[in-house]
Amino acid sequence: MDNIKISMKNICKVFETDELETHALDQINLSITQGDYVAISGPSGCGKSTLLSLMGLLDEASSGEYLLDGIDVTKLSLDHAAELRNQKIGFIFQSFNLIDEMTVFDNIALPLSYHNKPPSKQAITERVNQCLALVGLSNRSQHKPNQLSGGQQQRVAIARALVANPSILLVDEPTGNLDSKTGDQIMEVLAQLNEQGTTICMVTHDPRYAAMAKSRINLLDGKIS
Amino acid sequence: MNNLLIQIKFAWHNLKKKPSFVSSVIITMGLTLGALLCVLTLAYVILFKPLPYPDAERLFRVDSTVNVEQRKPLEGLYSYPGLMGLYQRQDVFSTSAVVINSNDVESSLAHTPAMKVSFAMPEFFPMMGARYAIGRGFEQTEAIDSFNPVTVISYKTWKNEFDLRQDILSQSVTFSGVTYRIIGVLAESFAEPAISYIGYESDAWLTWDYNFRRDLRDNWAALISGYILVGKLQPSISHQQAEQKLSMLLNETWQQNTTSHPHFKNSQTSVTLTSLKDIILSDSQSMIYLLLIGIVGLVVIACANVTNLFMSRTAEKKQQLAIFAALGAKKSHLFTTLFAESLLLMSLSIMLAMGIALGGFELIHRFFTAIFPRVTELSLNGFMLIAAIVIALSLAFIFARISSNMINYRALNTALQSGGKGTQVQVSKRVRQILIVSQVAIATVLILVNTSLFREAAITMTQPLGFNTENSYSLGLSYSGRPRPPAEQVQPIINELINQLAEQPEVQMATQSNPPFNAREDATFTLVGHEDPIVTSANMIGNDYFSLLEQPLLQGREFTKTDLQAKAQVVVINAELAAQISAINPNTEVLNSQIYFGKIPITIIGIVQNAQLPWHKTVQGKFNLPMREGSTGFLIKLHPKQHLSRERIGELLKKIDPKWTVWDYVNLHDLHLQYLFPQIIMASTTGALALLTLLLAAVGLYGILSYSTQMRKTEIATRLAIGAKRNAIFKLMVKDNVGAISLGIILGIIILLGLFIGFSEVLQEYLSYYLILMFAITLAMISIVALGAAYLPLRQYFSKPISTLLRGE
Repeated sequence: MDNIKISMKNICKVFETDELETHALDQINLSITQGDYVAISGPSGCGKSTLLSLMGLLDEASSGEYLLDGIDVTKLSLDHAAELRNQKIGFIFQSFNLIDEMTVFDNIALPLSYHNKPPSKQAITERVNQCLALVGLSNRSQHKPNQLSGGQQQRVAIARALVANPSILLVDEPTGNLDSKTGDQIMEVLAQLNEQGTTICMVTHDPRYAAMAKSRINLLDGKIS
Repeated sequence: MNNLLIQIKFAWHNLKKKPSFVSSVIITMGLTLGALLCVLTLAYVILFKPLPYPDAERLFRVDSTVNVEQRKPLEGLYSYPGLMGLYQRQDVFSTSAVVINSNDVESSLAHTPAMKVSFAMPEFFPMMGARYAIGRGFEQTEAIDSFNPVTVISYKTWKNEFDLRQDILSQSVTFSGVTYRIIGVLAESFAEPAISYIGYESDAWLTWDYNFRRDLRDNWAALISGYILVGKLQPSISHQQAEQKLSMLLNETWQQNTTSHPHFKNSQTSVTLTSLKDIILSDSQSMIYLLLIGIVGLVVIACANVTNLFMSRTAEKKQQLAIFAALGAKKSHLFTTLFAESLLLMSLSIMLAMGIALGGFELIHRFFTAIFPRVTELSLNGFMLIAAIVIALSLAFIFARISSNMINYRALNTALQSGGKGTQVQVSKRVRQILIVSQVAIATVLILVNTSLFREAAITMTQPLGFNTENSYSLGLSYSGRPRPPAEQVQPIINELINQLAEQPEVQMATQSNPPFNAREDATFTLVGHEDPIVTSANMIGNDYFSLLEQPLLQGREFTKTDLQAKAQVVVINAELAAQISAINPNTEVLNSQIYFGKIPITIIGIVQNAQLPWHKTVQGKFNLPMREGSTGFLIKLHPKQHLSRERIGELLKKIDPKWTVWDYVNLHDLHLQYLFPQIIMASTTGALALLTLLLAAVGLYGILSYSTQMRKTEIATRLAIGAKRNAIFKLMVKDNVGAISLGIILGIIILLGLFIGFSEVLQEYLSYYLILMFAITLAMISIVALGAAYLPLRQYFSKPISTLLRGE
């Protein structure tokens, strides 16, 4: 039980507009344990990204129960959700979402600055350098993101996701903006991280990359098929 | 041109879908350009528009100065015979006329209205190029010594008193017992020159021979003010030559007739000529420039706001512009597209602005006639139209140019492929920072200047008078007849009126007295053993004056009826003057001591608590003398919630002596408000300007920060996703802009210092510790506005799920 990082029971997500009610997710039940590497796949519009957003506390479920690292996170204040995202979740986005005005080092250090008690400058430097080494970019710490290739930018994003020692990495189409060779390299990095014990949940529509995960969840029309 | 018309049509179509953008631009620019057009037109009329009189540059007013040995020069005073001699014997003017203004009651009309009358010579009207709605002006048959009582009335009098009746030339008016046949009505367009003071408009012009000073026609020693000699200089004579000649002429007759007079031993007279333009302009030039600077500041803030709106709009139109470029539009074509939209918006703004400016003219006509000259000439004119067109075209061009400069034409075609993301059309951070700096700098200056002026005015308006004006009225009488009876014959009528007033159930108290606001500012007296005169203000008041006004008596007593009847040489002074006297003579008890008017000793019988007159910034020393016999001023105090009409008093007066009429009857509270009028105008204008500045700055900063936030939406979403709390994002936005805001404030301080150094003499009186307080208030206001502008655009991001923000929705 202690090893369960994510537990979702009967999770539903309904998007409502004036005229329309869209059931994006319907009665989702899943659990992800420590060291898992889960791939969520399915056709476009099946609810993959919505599910990842709920997992990452970027959005709230319409109903159901969600436990993150044993904490009930079904209903949270905005600031409490921010705290949990900061401590327990590492995000990797399709479009990297690095901040162009900041150096690679500062981008990676950013989550640490949002800690309730930010670490010392020295501790930050050590941890950022560790993460940079992990993704093989130690020599790029003072570059700006736009001076790097797409693959390098995604590595920076991975380093940023890892910097706060999260319980789980949530990865959204990590290769979507990369060529196949670079995509393969990024997937390799993720596989290595998982081998070292990092729990990963990845959304992808590419069956080849989905196959690299230890377990797969297929979504169809908002339901696990 | 054809292309521009098509583009304008297209722009109209496009803008219809953007009502909030259109209304923001039109309201912001319409309001501020309206104020600008109004003040610009006012400045043009006052400073540059030729005077509406023939050969106006040759029209001069002649002012005399009498220099008496060891005395301050007596400026602006003439003796009646001296003036007449000058008028009749001068040869420097091709034509000249003497005018004197007065107030009188028209006694033939049922409601006996008080009117402004001017006695003038026949040459005055042709000299001023007067035109007539009906009839004619004065002719030689109405010249000096013709004793032909006729009048030319103003258009306003014709309209208000005679309902524009066409048989007006068969009517007459009666002033001071003389009936004047109406021979003409001045045209509505006639602008009376402000030769005596700004805003004076005569209701009726009367023939010179009936002027109220004619009894002084042989008296050289009586120097009186108010005479105005105007003339049109001969083309061959210079201004200096004319001054010399007229001085010699006046001095010659003066010397001949005053050598034997003890007061004017070794005295001389001289004259100065002042052009009509300078007289009319008076000191309003600096006020106009200050107003113009204030409004231009507002327009700059508004332009910065609208620049930001235009830039956001261009960024929004990126996709559309990219399609045009893909279809072959050159950079110039894209400029035309943008220019068409800005031209349309500026045209609509300027139309609103013209409406607002016309409304502004109405306000100026109503409230500013005593402050600015020539306001009657304000109307929609060629200058205003040209200014409006030039402003609209220039601003349309500037906004279009700034918008087109944002477009990276080479990168534009990639916009179609990259699905709306990229740097093809973007407002650089530097431009945004410049907009913030300029807005904050101007707002700092305008808010500080306006709040400081507002404070000055508000202090004067709210300071307690030191006496009670509630239910109290000032009454003045006018006599319809010539000559006015001597004082000893008037006094019984006054006593009878006071008795009758006291019998009225509404009346609590009535006394023969000037109102508290009547004060001579330069009265002088001396103390025993001290030759230096003390200059102070003085008033003449009646018995029970202080009781009536509830102004506390600190020592001694106030005047009694006996003091007035016996013409006692007594005075009641205020505490301030008592303190001044005490400082000079510390060992003498002020009460019951004596002061000297010339050689006449006067005993101080009372010391009263200080009163604060509305036109003084601090309490001034003041002494009060008993009312003179025959003076026709009254103070009446009514019981609470009682009303006594002017007509009722008129009836009482008519029964006592039908030749006396009510000249003015006004509530002291209203009279106080009249004196506060300049402060009320100052407070409302500066208050409105400060609020408008703050509002525009708030809207502008919000617009810029909102755009900046929009541009950083993904970054904000990313930060939120990795655990940033709302507070951290707010701090980030504040931190990012605090530099520009601080720079703006510093620039504002530099501008203010420049103003203080440049205009140190004028602004000296405003330098005080309170300025630091006002600055702190200004900083607080700007900070609140800046913080609000940083927070509000973020609210939408805090209320949406972060996942939708990350998707760019």
